[in-house]
Amino acid sequence: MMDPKQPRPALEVRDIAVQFGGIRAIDHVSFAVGKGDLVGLIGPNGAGKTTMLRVVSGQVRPQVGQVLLDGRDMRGFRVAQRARTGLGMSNQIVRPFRHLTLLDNVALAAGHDRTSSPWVAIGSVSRKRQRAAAMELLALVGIASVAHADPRSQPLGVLKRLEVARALAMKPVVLLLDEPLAGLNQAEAGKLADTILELNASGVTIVLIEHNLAEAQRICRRFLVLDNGRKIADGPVAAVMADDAVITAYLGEGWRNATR
Amino acid sequence: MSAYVLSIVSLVGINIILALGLHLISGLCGQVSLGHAAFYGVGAYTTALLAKAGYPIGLTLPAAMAAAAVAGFVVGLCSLRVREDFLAIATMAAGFIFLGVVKQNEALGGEIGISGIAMPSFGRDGFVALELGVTVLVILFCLHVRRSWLGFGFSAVADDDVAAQMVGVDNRAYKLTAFCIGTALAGLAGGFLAYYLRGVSPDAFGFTASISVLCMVVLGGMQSIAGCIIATTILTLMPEVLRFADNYKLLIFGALLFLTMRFLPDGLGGLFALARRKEAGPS
Amino acid sequence: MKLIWELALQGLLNGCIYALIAVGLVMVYGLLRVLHIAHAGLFTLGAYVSLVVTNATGSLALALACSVITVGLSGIAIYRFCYEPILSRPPYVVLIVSIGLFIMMEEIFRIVFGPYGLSYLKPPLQERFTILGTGITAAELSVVLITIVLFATLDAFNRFTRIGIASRATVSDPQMASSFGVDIRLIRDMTFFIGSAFAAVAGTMVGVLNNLVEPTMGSVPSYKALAIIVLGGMGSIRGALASALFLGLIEAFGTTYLGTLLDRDAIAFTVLLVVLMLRPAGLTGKKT
Repeated sequence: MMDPKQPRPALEVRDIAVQFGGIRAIDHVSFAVGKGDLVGLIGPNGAGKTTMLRVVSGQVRPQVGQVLLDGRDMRGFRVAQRARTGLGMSNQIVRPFRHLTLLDNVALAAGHDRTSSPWVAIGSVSRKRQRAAAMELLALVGIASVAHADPRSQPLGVLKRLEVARALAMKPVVLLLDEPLAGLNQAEAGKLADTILELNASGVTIVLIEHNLAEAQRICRRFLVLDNGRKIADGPVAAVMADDAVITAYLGEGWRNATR
Repeated sequence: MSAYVLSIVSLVGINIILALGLHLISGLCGQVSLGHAAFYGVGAYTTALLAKAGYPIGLTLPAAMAAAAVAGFVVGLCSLRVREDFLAIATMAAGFIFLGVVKQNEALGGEIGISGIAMPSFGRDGFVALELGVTVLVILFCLHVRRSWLGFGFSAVADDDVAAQMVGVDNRAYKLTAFCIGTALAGLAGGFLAYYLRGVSPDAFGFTASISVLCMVVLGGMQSIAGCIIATTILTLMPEVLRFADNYKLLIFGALLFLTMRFLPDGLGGLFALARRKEAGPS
Repeated sequence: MKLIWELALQGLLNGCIYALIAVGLVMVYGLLRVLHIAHAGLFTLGAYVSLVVTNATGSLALALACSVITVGLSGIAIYRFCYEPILSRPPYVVLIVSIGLFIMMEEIFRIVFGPYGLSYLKPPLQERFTILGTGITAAELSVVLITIVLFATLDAFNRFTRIGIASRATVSDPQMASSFGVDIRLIRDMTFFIGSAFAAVAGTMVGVLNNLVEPTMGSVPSYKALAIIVLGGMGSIRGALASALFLGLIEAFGTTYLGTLLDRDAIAFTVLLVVLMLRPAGLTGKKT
């Protein structure tokens, strides 16, 4: 729990519950992410991680509970408003804008003050400043050399980094990464994990979902574990990985009692 | 210029305004509409009724744009609930409903329509000059939209409307804006058509008309304004040039739609882009 | 009361025809997510083939068989040559290809068979019966019976034969089905054949009912069929049958009681729009 004397958390989730039909996808989960933290949201398949991410991003409306971004209640905010308020989002399955160059993909996000409403947007033309900012971000994630390429011609590794750069261009209070390493080979995954670590070191608050537990353990400071829609552990990575409930959730009941 | 040439040129102008309206909605913003002719019709009928009541062209045309934009806003609101092919069907439905209402409504002239609209006081030549002037303004406006951040946002929504929201583009506001501007242009074109034909009849605004406009936009390439203008000019002139082939006009339209999409999905605009890349040399 | 019976019968007949047309669209949509507008051209083709063969040989049964085979094979040809190469394109590309193809087919029928339509030399199935105090012709009765038999057969086929089960599996998950050795191309050919064959039957019956086959007879039913697959929740055959009957009845009663406000097509499409707004995934569709 947050200490009242501590600064306001970047992201706070209070008592979220989501039900699809009769199935309880998320069962009253609360957590907070402090500024500058790097949190891994982990759990076995079907634990409710993706649903939780969608609740935070505004794609799924919870039956109960609140999401606070930098202390602001996000209730009634749709995805685009949340993005402009400071939520950077990347997709597990990459979704580049196919008809824009990599640079313009990021420049569009960097110009989110220009696109905030159609009335503002129609009045401004120059993309110079946003393209310059985008170039810096592409350099930061290591794909500046292909800035003018067509995303349809780029390999997955580049597009995964594009997702991160585009989310960063929103100048996010919190960066939400949905399986940033999925689909990459070990070398690529390791390098992107390093990039994420550097971003965090430069002050970006990050929450990520990841199946690649080895890399996640290496870079995250804290793990938050969901299982069957419930939060079963939350704390420093090493402590969480030694937690009985977490081991049972991943490896099954038999593990503890089995002979070594 | 002879009266015949003037008449053809003004028809080309009207069709360019109409097609650019659909280009904004379907090309730039990616929302395929099969009911564009309905908004053309709303503009034409609004103009016809007001002109018959004695209002001047300076008032009837803005009213036509406003009426069409309101209709476009409503259909746009509906379109927010559905996606892609559902949207195409919803807009098609809107087209049929417009036609059904007009045909059953005696105040709108029923099956026959409204005739006897007077030329504006400045005469035929003045009208053609006004119409062509407005066409040029519309072209400039569309070029500006494309270059502006609005066009930037439209292309994001067209490509992937979920990702667009993630970069802060409110896809609903953008789609509604595209519908309003695009249908207002259709209304404007309809207003000019009412004066041009000196009357309106429901047949001009049916499903075939919607398909013809779509054909212009598609042949031009969903991404290219220049392509759209050229395709519209060709398709408007074609029936005049191919007088002898009048019997096959619709067959040629169908074949063009089919062949373009089957073999050249980026249309004339795609062809230009390809040529430019070739000129620039292999790289 | 008599009026209500007659309207109900009219609605039922139209509903059956709509259902026979829509089933092909539904199957194709379920399998490929393609709105197959050119399907309505196949419906018209079916009507012409039956009429021409009947007038030449005098046998409607023979004509129907020819029609079903010709149209079924044409359906496969359309899939192979027009849709298969562009399936990876955005949906509007395939939709517009299909619209272009449909316009071409209509125009070819007009040029080949003339714009005014053809009639049967000796109209078949004109015997009259009286059921529940309402007169009904043999043709009308046949439409209802054929619809019942064909839909029951299709349902059984989908549930009890291997290829039917495979095709349902392909609809829900093509990759999974293909990893189990299901021949996806065969399934698709079969779907186009069956769907087109149903359209041929529908075309034949409409030609017999009206004793008129025209080049443009496909347009209105084709748009209606689109409405039906939307109402039925895109891809559900039973949903399509239910909404076809629903739409047939709504139109029959609507035209009588709302005819001064809207014409028949506008009524159908108003219902469609209202349903789309209330349930974006169709009447029977699941929420996504």
